[in-house]
Amino acid sequence: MNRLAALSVSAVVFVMSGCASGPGFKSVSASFPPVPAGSARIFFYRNANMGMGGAVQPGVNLNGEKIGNAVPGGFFYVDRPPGDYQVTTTTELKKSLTFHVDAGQVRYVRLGLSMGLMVGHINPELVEAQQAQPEIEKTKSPKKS
Amino acid sequence: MDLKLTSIVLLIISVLSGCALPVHQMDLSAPLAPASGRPFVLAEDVHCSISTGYQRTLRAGTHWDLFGTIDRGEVYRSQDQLLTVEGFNVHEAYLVIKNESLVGFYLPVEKKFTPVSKVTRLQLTSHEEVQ
Repeated sequence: MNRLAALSVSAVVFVMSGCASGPGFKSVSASFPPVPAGSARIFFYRNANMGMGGAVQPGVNLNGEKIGNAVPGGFFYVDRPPGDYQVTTTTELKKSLTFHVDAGQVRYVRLGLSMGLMVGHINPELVEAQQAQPEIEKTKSPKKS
Repeated sequence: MDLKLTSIVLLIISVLSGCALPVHQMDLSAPLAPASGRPFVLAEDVHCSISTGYQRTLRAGTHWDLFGTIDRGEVYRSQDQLLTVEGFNVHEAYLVIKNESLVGFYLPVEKKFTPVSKVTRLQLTSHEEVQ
């Protein structure tokens, strides 16, 4: 293998190593428990984006509590009581998303990557179910450590 | 384009992408008074924007239900269309309508009002007319 090819393979391995590698959403979604009575479910996911920004995996906070990380190609969910919520990430630029959930409601938050001056940022966006479903079906659970 | 110019363009884009204006939030003279009834369906697409330059399209055929009233008008939300307004941060938003015109958005978490850049007359249809 010449030097250029070796460098290319190394780059691909480096980029992809930051991606979620657990079971796929489609293979595990049937096993999700129903939303507890009186609660709402909030899904968080990040598209793989061809591994772009793989080194940027900030923590995701819901009303100040860390609930996961924005792993490329990964998803997770939390069940919470109805009410007002704020999503923030622990990147240098603290962009937030605020929304309200009702009991029984299922919400989808996409963790989008945007490029910043020095590093990428993760921007939380509220996404409609019909748009989120085909995207989240391509994601995986973050690898268990 | 040479490398220097490319670098400058990328720098400007990077700086601008991190410098969006915050959504202009106005206090209400009184809290939202919950209400219900008077649902309507949007007869045609409505394009609207706020002071940050953020634009949204309210889709034709979406159903909207009265959620409450504030000093600026009646507040409606929809099960058919999720609405957010965006500046530096992103906020869920409900429509505020006065005299069948879109005047702004109610931010349910912040409990504030943000005006649209241009008041827009809506073509409303009642549920009964649609069914």
